[in-house]
Amino acid sequence: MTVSNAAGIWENWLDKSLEESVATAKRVSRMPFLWTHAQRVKKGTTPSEAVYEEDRLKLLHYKSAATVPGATPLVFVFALVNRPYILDLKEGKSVVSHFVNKGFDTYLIDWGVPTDADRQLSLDDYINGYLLNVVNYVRERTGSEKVNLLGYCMGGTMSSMFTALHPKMVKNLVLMAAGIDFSTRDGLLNLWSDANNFDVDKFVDAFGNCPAEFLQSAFLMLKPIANLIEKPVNFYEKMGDPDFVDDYFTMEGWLNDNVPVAGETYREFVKYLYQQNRLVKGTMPIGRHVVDLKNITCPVLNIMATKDDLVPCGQSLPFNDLVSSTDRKTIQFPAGHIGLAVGGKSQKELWPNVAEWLMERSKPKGKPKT
Amino acid sequence: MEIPPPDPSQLMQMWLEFATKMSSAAGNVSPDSPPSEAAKQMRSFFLQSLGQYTEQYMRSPQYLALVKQSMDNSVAFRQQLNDFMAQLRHATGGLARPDVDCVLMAIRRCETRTLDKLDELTNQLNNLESRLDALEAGNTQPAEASK
Repeated sequence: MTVSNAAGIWENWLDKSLEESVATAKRVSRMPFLWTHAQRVKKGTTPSEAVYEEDRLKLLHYKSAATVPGATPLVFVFALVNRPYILDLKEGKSVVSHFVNKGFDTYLIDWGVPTDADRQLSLDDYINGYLLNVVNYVRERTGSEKVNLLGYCMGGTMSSMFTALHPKMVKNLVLMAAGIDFSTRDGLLNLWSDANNFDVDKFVDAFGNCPAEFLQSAFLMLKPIANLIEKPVNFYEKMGDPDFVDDYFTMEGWLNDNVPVAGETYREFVKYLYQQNRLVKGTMPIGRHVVDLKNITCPVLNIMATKDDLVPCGQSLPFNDLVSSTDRKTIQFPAGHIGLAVGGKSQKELWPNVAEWLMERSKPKGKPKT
Repeated sequence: MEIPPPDPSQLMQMWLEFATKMSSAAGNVSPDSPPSEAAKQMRSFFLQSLGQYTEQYMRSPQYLALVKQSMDNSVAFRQQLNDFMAQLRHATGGLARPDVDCVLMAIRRCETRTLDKLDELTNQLNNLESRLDALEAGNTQPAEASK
């Protein structure tokens, strides 16, 4: 190594160090404004209004400029563990907008936040009570005999149960990272919820509702290093980028906006599904009924994320073999559980295709392409 | 409950993997690359190894036993708190959670009985309708035959 070479390298290192110092100074100078930025974050982007309310439930109707006349309306069924605005997070990150722009009459169920008085609510109340009432309301309002259901995560599991119990009301069923076969132990959540490790009866008897903080910490612990170390470090490094900061606060706002789950519902979900895997066995009790997935005959689209920690693919994949539908399709998309909804790639490549698939089967007298 | 001792081989494996990845990261560093990039790469490998080890550990019987023990403790504590609060409220002439639960259960039982009765009535009505349909069909057939 010559002297001039060594001097060049030294200068290069000095320049880079200076750049890093300036970047750090910029980050520090932005810190006082972060709080105001976090306060400005908006939840939901597509214009909507609540058209139906029952107890804590609200049904949001999205306003569309051009709805395809006669097309079957679409109802989004979200999980009970988080807030549903993840499906309409912000411009460019909205699943709902793809369907609204495609011309669907689109609705979304916001289950609300259960209080202590709701701890006796069971899956039967949610599926044969609230969801049935919502579907009947949408059918009456739109004059359509059937509705399309799109269920995300736990909402997907509930949508599949609803379709099996009321097959004549559902035209098409779209599942998005929905847990169906809980026998797999790929995911940590399945392992932790095992009957040998978790006594759900004692837990619900003692706590009533399943606390939001408990769910939040369980989700955090699925990837503790990524969530507790990598994420804050990454934020610190990109703090100077206003778009990144906006995305970060929007996502974090949603991730920390957990809601408690009604005690009985939580007990049934953990005991009958995570511990006894009854949906696949055809012995899942919903009130006085037993769910038989073979009753599902409508077209089915089963979407799952290959990098999902919460609902691994193995948990969703068997669904299409358990139903009687002849028109059924599976999509395994390279994303995580949340990325499936808000990820840039899924927004560009997945949702336009899903909206197209659904519209082909929702138009009056329309025949699906083969 | 006795928590099984941790397996030292897992820790060894983690550090071995970490050292291998760090040495490969060090091999990639060139004098021209900025210091922050090299540090970032090393950090990324370290966190990757740590993440993998953490997941392995969270699947181990030791961790599962630990979680079960802490869950049992928090449930027992909550139960004690509930019992204490119920006694306190009863002592002051108030209503406690178990009382509300009893009322809610009574309403549930009432609802179930009503729904069972309604189901029974629906079945009876359906039976009657089908018998009426059969009777009507029987009446029209001889009339048509006589024509």
